[in-house]
Amino acid sequence: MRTESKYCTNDALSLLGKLASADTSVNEYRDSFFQLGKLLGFQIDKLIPDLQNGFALACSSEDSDWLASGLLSQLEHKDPAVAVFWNERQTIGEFTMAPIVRSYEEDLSQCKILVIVKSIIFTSCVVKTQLLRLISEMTPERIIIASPVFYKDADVHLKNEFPEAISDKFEFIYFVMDTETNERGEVIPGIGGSVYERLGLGNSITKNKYVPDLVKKRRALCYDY
Amino acid sequence: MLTKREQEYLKNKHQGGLNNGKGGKYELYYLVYELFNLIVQYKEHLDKTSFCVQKKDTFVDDLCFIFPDRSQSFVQIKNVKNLNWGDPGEFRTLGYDFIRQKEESAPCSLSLVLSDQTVCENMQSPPDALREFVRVIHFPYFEELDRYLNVECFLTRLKCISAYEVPKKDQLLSLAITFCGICSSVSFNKDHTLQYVVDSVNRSSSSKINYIFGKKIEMNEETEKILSEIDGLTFSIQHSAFLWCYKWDKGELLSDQFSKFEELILRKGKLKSFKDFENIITEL
Repeated sequence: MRTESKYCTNDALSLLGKLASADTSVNEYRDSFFQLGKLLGFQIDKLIPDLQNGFALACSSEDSDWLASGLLSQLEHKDPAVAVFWNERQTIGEFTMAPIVRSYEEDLSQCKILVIVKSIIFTSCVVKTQLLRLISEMTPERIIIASPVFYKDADVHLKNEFPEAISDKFEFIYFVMDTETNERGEVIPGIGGSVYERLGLGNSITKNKYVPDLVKKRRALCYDY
Repeated sequence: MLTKREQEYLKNKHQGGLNNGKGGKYELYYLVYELFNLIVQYKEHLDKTSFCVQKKDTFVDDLCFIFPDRSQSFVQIKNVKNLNWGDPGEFRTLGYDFIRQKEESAPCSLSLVLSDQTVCENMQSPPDALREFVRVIHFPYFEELDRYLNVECFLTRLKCISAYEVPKKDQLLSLAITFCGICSSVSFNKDHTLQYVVDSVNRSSSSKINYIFGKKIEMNEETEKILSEIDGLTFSIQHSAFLWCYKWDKGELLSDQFSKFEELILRKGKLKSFKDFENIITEL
């Protein structure tokens, strides 16, 4: 079952429909995420009006060029610092982890607002790992966790993983919440299956070979590459 | 020597498991907490130090550790809001279990691990017969393993087995998860050596964690020379991890991946820039 949040719009629903459809091509899928990112960015822009506080945007490598870039296009005037992470998911017994194998992290130390964006918040394994890394490097006053789709209780579970001093800072922004998974353990309708495959990045291994254009552009602003 | 009544009691006593509900998770977290310490303490005797979960025919049966000198330690783990020792002379009380275990296994040490601070304080005054040989320990319970990263004693033990010079919390979490994953599938009533745990950890996650028993990286001199000539690139070896940094880009390779990386570097011969370096990283 899918329920809509207060942030959901008809445009968001239409784009989510494209993600869920198996007929959507790779390019259309990518563009849908970019557009969803813009819609999320529009909402977040209203939530962080203060330009004085440093603002950081963090995302996974696979989300950088579409979802995160769309979001960034709405928030560039706030001059965010950017962090991109490459995670490698692994399951051992009944436990899952997603160690960070690589990162691109600008100076986040002075940023007071952290926005983490993810294609879908399901087990929250990746977001949790990225958050652990980020809060060791910065002291945000607000942590906005944004995604087009949340799985049921993902927000509650994520809050439970952190002490109250951290989890009390969490704000969740999503368009829809899904409550079911299929036989492969994928959220349905979710984002239409494996995000790596749908984005044309291969699988969970090959996607880590991808160096986002976002990272290349940001590097060019900051240093010779 | 167990009476028939005791044998029947012990047969039914423990039906739980290391991943069976809340109690199972608590036992698992405590087990790995102890293992972090033991693999450091007995690093020269990993094959002579073992543990057993739910040992058969024992009264204090949640965990049993056996040390190189063959001495034993028995642990009862309770995640409850109410508890008392009861009359140690009365069958089926906690006090009775502890007394009988001492009688059956002396010399040994006995511990009662409790999640609730108040219960722990109340249980610090065991009956006289138990007072001298029981330790009552507080170990908090959290549903989520991540929460233990904020428990000082747990964090300290994790840091002792991490091979990073300054381990980050997410790296320590991966280490803890690996141990939990391995230990959650151990057979009950069977001795497992610390060597078994270490071997299982190494087999299971050969490229994902950097800890003191992982495969050490030895960098070829030529590789070091090639990498040193890339302007702006810094790197170091920390046991099983090769860490690199170029301005705001950074990453790491663990042992198995490093071997392949080094092969590619040496085949290439010379790297002119970070871009060349990155091309090799993405080829892995």
